[in-house]
Formats: sequence, structure tokens, C-alpha cells
Amino acid sequence: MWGNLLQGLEATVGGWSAIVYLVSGVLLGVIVGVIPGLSGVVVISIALVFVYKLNLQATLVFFLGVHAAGTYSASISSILLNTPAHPESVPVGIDGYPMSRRGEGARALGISAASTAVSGVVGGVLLVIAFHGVDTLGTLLHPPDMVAIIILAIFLVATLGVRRTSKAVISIGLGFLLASIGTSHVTGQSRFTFNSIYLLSGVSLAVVAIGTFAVPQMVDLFGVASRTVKRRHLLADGTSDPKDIVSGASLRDTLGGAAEALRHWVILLRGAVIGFVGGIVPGVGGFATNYISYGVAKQLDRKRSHLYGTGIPEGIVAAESSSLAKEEGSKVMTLGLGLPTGTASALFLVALAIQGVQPGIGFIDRHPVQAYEIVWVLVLCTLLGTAVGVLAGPQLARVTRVPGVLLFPFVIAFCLVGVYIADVTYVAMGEIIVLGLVGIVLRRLGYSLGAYMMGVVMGPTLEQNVYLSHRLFPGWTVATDRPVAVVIVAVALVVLVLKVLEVRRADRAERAGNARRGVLARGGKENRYPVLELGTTIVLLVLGVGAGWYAATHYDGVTAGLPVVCCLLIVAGTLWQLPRHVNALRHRVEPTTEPDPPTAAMPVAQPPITPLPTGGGAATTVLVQAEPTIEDEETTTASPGIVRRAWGRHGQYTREIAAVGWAVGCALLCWLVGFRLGVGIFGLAYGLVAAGRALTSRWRKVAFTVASVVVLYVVVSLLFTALGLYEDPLIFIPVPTF
Amino acid sequence: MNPTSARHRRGRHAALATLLAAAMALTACSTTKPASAGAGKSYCAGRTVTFLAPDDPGGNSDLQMRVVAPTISQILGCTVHVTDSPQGDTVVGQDLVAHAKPDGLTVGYLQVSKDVYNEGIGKKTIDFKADSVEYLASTQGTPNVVIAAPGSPYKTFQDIINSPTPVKILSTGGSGAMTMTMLLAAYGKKANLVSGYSSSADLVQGFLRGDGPVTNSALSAFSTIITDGKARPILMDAAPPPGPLADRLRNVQVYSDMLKQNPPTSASGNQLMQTLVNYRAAPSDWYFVPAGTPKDAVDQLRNAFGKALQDKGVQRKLAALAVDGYVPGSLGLKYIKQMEAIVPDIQKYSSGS
Repeated sequence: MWGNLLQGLEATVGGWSAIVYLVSGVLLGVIVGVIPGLSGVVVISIALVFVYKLNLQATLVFFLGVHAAGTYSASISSILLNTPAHPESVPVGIDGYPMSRRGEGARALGISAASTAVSGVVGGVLLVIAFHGVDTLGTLLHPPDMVAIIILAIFLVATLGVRRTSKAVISIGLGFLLASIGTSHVTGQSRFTFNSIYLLSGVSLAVVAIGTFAVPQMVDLFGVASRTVKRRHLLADGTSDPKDIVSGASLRDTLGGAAEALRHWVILLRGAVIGFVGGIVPGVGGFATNYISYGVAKQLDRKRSHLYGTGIPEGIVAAESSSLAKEEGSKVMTLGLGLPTGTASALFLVALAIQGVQPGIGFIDRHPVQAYEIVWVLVLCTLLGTAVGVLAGPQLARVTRVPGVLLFPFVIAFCLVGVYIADVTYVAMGEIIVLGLVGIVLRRLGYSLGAYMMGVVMGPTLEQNVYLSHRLFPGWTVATDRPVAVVIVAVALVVLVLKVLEVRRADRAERAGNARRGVLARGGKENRYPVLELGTTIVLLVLGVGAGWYAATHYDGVTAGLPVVCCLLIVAGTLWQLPRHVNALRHRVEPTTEPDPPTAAMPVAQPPITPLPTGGGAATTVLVQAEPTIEDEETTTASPGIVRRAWGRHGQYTREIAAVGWAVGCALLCWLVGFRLGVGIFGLAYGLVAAGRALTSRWRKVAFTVASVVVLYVVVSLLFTALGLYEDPLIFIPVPTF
Repeated sequence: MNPTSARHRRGRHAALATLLAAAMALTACSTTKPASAGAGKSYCAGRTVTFLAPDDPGGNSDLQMRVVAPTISQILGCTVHVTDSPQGDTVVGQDLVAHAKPDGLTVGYLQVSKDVYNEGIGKKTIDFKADSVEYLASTQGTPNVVIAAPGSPYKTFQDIINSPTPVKILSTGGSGAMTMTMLLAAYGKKANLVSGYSSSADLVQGFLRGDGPVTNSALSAFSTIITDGKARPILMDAAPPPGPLADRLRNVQVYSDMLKQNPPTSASGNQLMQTLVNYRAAPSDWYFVPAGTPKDAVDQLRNAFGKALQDKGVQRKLAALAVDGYVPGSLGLKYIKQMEAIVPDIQKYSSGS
């Protein structure tokens, strides 16, 4: 083994050409992977274009380099802007973004980079070990085990950061309902497509992820006319330090963050193992493994469990430590059995097939050098990608200094272009806006976006495995034949019961507090929007009843199974919370100056003063002032523009309507005249109309307008040309292309 | 110095620099022209031909198009670029090309077996008529093969037919499940299908862990487990392609052999078996251009595809994707009609799957 391992290393870095391909792949992955929608499979398909012209060694180095680096770089936009490039990078934003909002973006990137590096290295070691037992690994888990694991994963995620169990249940149901749109994977029958051919293949995961997480975040960005991060240090003695945290971000901060990640070695190792095992199992995917790793870390960390979601290093470490290990786990099946566990693995298999290499049983014995070369490439690419991330961290962190209103046009344009590239249809832009509106409402009302997304991702896999379990283990034989599954389901139920008890305890404490203050309404902060809460609950109830009835009467039993079950979840959840919301409306107390909830991916409570560990062991204790919400910033910013005479408290509804309006405008322009021209016109209009909220000087406004037009036009044009993309706008206007 | 005015001056300088850079970029942009290749009598000289794959990037049609595109580009002397339109289970991409401007500049890829199957189960798809396009050429995909576990009692397909109880057959659903249902129906047997596997990889995993003794899918999915002796091939829809597995598969029965050696006892069974032979023998994946494309363009494209698909280098790359063979476009209509004849049978048996 050792000889093959060394030969594999020699093959990986034995010549200049290999190193050039390695570096090129990593750089391509880092650059492209950071753009929302352009990560994962799309980056790999770009790499695939080049594979036809490369030899085997260059293929391995380049292809895997792009993949590994793209996996890491997707976290950058999630941490800094809370706009995940793809579903896998959602969990890292739960703690990464709050940290970034505190002005610790460089530190968060350092933690993320180190966690990814360790994940890659540990995953590599596990991959070498797994090569020796590969024949049996793939057949260990049976469909009932998969069902149990998925249920546990969903319960773990659903109970994260959500106040009400009913909202978690509704979120899961909504996710499943969205997943059931399209062709049933079990029967082949179409569900909820209403004769639309676009819906036959269901809703794209990239569209759901961007709509759910990035669009609400863009709305918030639009509302910030000052710096996204504008904090000052509070020293331990109570005096303030005039130094701006972000402008002071340095390589030391990033390295400090990296060193800090290593201190959480238990979470790192546990996350890597979870990721590796998740990678072996087909259909689990990066989103689920990263969320499971995060959920497990939170559940096991009794002392700091309540701080998860507020921007603590453990949260980033937990979410990121499984990311690369998952990719390495997937190679066990791909190389050992020739079975892809996801689209990325399938494309890797194709890349190898093009080079005349056929992985499968006996591959590791027949091609030991290439097998170990793959391990080395993955590990080295991880380290190289991480180094790029660490070096660029301080510069990247400066993006949080840019006023949100100036970031908005770029983020929205790239999101729309990204989903178009992923699906190559204008319909995807419509979907993203509809799902974005859903995401805005769900986030504002504190539903579990994680559980919702988990339902979308895991719905088809759960449906298939429930059906297979029923066919292969009829009746109660599943309990006797697969006891492991029974134990896992029992653990999942315990997790749910613990959550219910926790909610009841919190309710009792809140009622006691309210009684002391003489407030009648239940729910406190939760019921900040009683009309919207009640309205949403009624809409969800009608949706659950209507969709369930439609599925039950239009589809056969097997096809209707998933939608009917998810509708039952929605109906149960809404009936559960309906009396509470009716009561809250009856005893409505007009809010006074209470701020809105923070706008991270998950609704979380932020402590008033957050200790800022200094990472590098600096002598002074530094405290960061509590994060004011966006509404606070709006009321204190000199030129809020949009907020004056606005609709809704602090102008939040006006802001949301205006932001969604700009997004719809951009989408319509792209549909009318094509992307190249559309984003250019959008940049021009936005710069002239909206940029004035942040830029007071006329020259700066003009400069920003011109720069945004040029950047958007050039980047989009280059992307379309590089990918050879086809677009068919309503009005064709020839424009120069690159 | 007043810091505010200095800041404003710096702002103006920055703005001027940005404007200058923008102007330079726009100038460069307006003088950049798309690359054009070749000239002469090519119908597309100086223009770009778009190959639109109805799959995801990296999907079957996307990869095939990327393999043949460079050679077609050389032969035609014009730029060829490949793009994808994956929505709607391949029908959107097909529809886009079928209704594109008939100038020979948009080439599509049609997966007839999927369309025929969808039509058979009554799934609403696009309004696509098989004789409304011009067929250019086809590649012969990997054959479908039925395999049995080595420890199982099923050494031939006849053993499955003769089994006193319905044999559990694993499947990914779709046309594979339908084929098995119809094969058994031809011999008066009912299928016991477990068709919930998400992909052929998932199917292989289920087969290896012993979910069921028999399954069927594309040969490319089973090649490694057949080579390793973990699966016993018992029936194929067509003769095996040349390659490392050819020797091992030489004695495996194909549909037409089965029809000759063990014909179904009923007339309807015989007819059904004959339809299956025709259905599975027809190449299902076709390159096409919209109806009404000028004859000169169609002829040049057919010629280019003929040369490209018979090129050794292209064939080697396609073989890596388990694709081989070349069927000229002139045979397109014949095969499409042959495949459409199976629609009533699929309608009849679709409830069985």
C-alpha cells in the first residue's frame, strides 16, 4: 500500500504540467464556485468540456481540483453575504453570516478554510482505509435504514433554531410538497404539473436554495444604505475603540480563525466521519450531511447549544467539517463499485470513461496508482483551495464594508444568471421569484428554512426508500429484519419529544414573564406580525387541504403517498398553531420600539454583548457591540430614501416590495432582450435610481452606474460564451459578445 | 487641507478612472467579433451551428454532442457550440429545436424511446410528431440486459417464465420496467416488479445486497458486476457491442433468438414479442433539424454526421460512453414509425407496472 501511495503522490505532483493543471483547476473552482448557482455540478460540467483535450493524469488533477475548490469557495458567499452558492453551503452560513455581520468575516473564513482542509485530509485517510473493504460497504444499508436515517436527519434539522414545533412540522411538509412536484420517481406518474412540461422534472434544487435563502437576503441587503457592517470595538473597560473591525481585518485574523478551528478537533473529526459516511450513501447529498453534522454538534454541545446560530466558531466547524469528506466518501462507491452517488460522481465517472478508465469492482487492485493519485489530488486540492481562501480572506471580508444597496444589483443579477445556467430556461427566474417570496414570509415568521430545504432535498429519496421498504420488507418484518432502523427511528422520536418539552418549558417561562409585565398575549416576540401570522396559517391550511384532496383524488395510491402525507403534516401543524394566532390577534398589543428579529438564515436570538475571542491569543479582551438590526440601521441612516413615508413599521414592507420589484424587473429585462443586454440595462437603471441612497456625490453615482453596467455585461457575456449558452429572448437585439 | 474636499477630489479621480476604464472596455468589447471558422461552400460558413442537448450538462445527449461537435465543426467549416436545455424530462429541449427557425443552424437530439413510452402511458408532453423533423443520424446505444444473481435458480429467461410464483424483478421503472412487464405478458405471466430505484447505480446496489434475484437495465450499468462474476446475464435485446464483454456475452440469448427458439403459445403473445424485438432493435437517440430545413443544409449535415460518427477517434470516445454504431438519417422515419407501433401495447400494459 505504501509503495502505491508514494507512486500516487509522484504521479500527482511529479511534473510541472501536473502542478499547472492542479493550480488551474483550483483557481477555476474558487472563482466560479463563489457565484450563486454556478457551483457544484455546473462547475464540474465546465471542467468536463476540457477533459476531452487532456490526458488521464491531467484529467484527474484538473477535474478534481475544480470540484474540491468549488466545494470550498461556495461557502465564501454564504459566510459573507448569506447568499449560498448552492444548497451544500447553506449550513455554514447559519453561524458564518452572524459572525460576518459582527465584522469577523476574515475570522469566519479562516475557520471555514481550516475546517475544510481538515475535512479533506481526514476524508482522504478514511478513503484509503475504505479502499480495503469497498466490496461490502455499498450493500450495508438497506432501504429501511435509509428511511430511518432520513427521518432522524429531518428531525435534527427541524428542531434547529425554530421556536415552535408546529412551524417545524409545517416546514417539513412544505418541503416535501415542493419535492413532490414533477414525475414520481416510483411510478413515473406526473404530480402537480398541471400539463406544464417545465414542471415534469420538478423544481430545481439550485432554484429552491437561491430562492429560499438568497432572495430574502437580497431584500435585506437592499435595505442597508450604509455599510453592511458598521461596528466599533468596545473594550473591556467600557470605552470604545475607534478602529473599524473590518478595515482592520488582516491575514492574522484569518490565520487566527484557522488556528481556532483546530481547537475544536472533536467536532472536526466527528463532522468528517459523518460527511464520509454520508458520501457513501446514494442520494444523501452535501446539504443533508452538512446539516446533520451541524445538528449533531448542536445536540451534543449541551453547554453552548443555545449559542448555535448566533455566530460561534463551533457552528462553522460543524457545518464545514463534513463538506469535503462527503466528496471523498462518494469516491468509495464511484471507484470501488463504479456506482455514482450523485450527479458530481456521475460526471467524474464520465470523465474517467472518456479517458478509457472504467472504475468498478477490482479497480483498486487493477489501478492502485491511479486510485491513490485520486486521494492525493483531493487532499492537495483541498489544501491549495484552503490556502487561496486564507490568503484572500481579508480582502474578501472587505465586501461586508460595501453598503448592501450597492451589492444588491450584482448579487441579484448573478443569482438570476446562475439559475438560468443551471436550468437553461427563463421559467427558472419566475420560480426563483415565487420561491423567494415564500422564503421572505417563512423567514420573517420564524419557520424552519432548514427543514423546508431538507424536505425538498430528501423528499424523493425518502419516498423511494419508503416504497422499497414496503415492497422488500412487507408488514412488520421490517422490525425484526432491520433492528438498526428501529433504533434510529426511536432516537429521532426522542429528539422530537425533547424539542416539544423544551418549547413547553420556554412557554411556561414566557407566560410567567408576561404575567409579571401584565401582557396578555402569548408568544411575545414570535407574534410580532399577528395579521401576517394568521393569514399565512390560513393560506397554508387551505393549501394543505386542497393539495391533499387533489392528490388523493387524481393519483393512484403510491403516487399520492408523498403529497398526502406532507399535506397531513401541513394541516396538522396549521391546526395546531391556529388557535394561538387567533388568540394573539385578539389580544394584539401594538409594538412600540421593539426591533425586528435578526436576519440570519435561521431566526436566532442574539445576545446583547457577544464576547469576541481573539483567536490568536491577544492580550486585550475585546467586546463587540450588539448587532443592530437592519430596521435600526434604516432609522439611523442619513439617507434611507425608501423608508420615508413607507408602508409598514420601519418601512420593511416598502423595502421588500421595492427589492422584489427590482428583481422582477431584472428578470423581465433578461427575458425580453436577453441576459447580456438585460443585466446591462438593469445595472444602468439601478445605478441611476437606487444607488443614490448610498452615494451622495453625483460623480460617485455615475462611476458606480458605469462600473456596474460594464461589470455585469462583461461577466455575463464571458459566462455565456464560455459555456456556449443558448438563449432565446422575446426581442432579439444583436450585441457585441466576447 | 480640508479633508472633505480632498475626499471629494479623490472620489472624482476614482470616478474619472472608472469612466475611462469603462470606455476602454466598451471599445474593446465592440471590436471583438465572434470567431468564425472555415469558408467556401458550407451552408453555415461564417455562422454558428448550435447543438442543443435536451439533458443536464454532462447528461447522455450533452456528452455525445460534445464528442461529435469538434469533428462536425471541422467538416462543415463553421463554428459548432453545444448548449443544454434540460427541463421537462428532455421534451423542452426537443421542442425548442423542433420549433426553431429551419435554417440548419439549430441541431437537436431526440430520445424516441422515452417519447414513445411517455405517449404510451398517457403522459402529457409536447406536441411532437415523429415525421415533423428531418433526421440526420443516430448512434446505437448500449443494449438492455436482464441479469440474475449467480446463486439464483434462473439460468435463462425461460426459468423465470417457468417459475411457479412470480419472480421478484428489480427495476428503475420507466421503459425498462415496461419491457419486463411486456416480455412476461407475452408468455402469459404477471410481473412482480419492485421499481422504486432512483438510478441504475441504486439498482445495482440493491441487486448486490440481495433485494431481488433478477433485474434489467443498460449493459453499461452492469458491465463491472458481470465481469466480476457477481451477475449472470440471461437475456439481451440486441447483440452485444464489440468490446471486452463481447466474448462473455456471446452465448446470451437475444429477443429475436427467444422468439425463434421459445415462441409464445398465443398469437397475441407472438405479436407482442415481435413488437418488442422491433422496439428494442431500433436506435432511439437521433440527431435532427426542424422540418423545412433547406435540402442542401440537411444533406451537408447528414454527410458531416456520417463522417464524424464513423471516425475512429470519435468512435473510441463514444465507446467510452457505452455508445456505438451509426445509423444514417435516411432510415429515421422507418425506425420511428416502427417504435410508435408499440404505443398501443404500452397503453395496454402500463397498468401492470
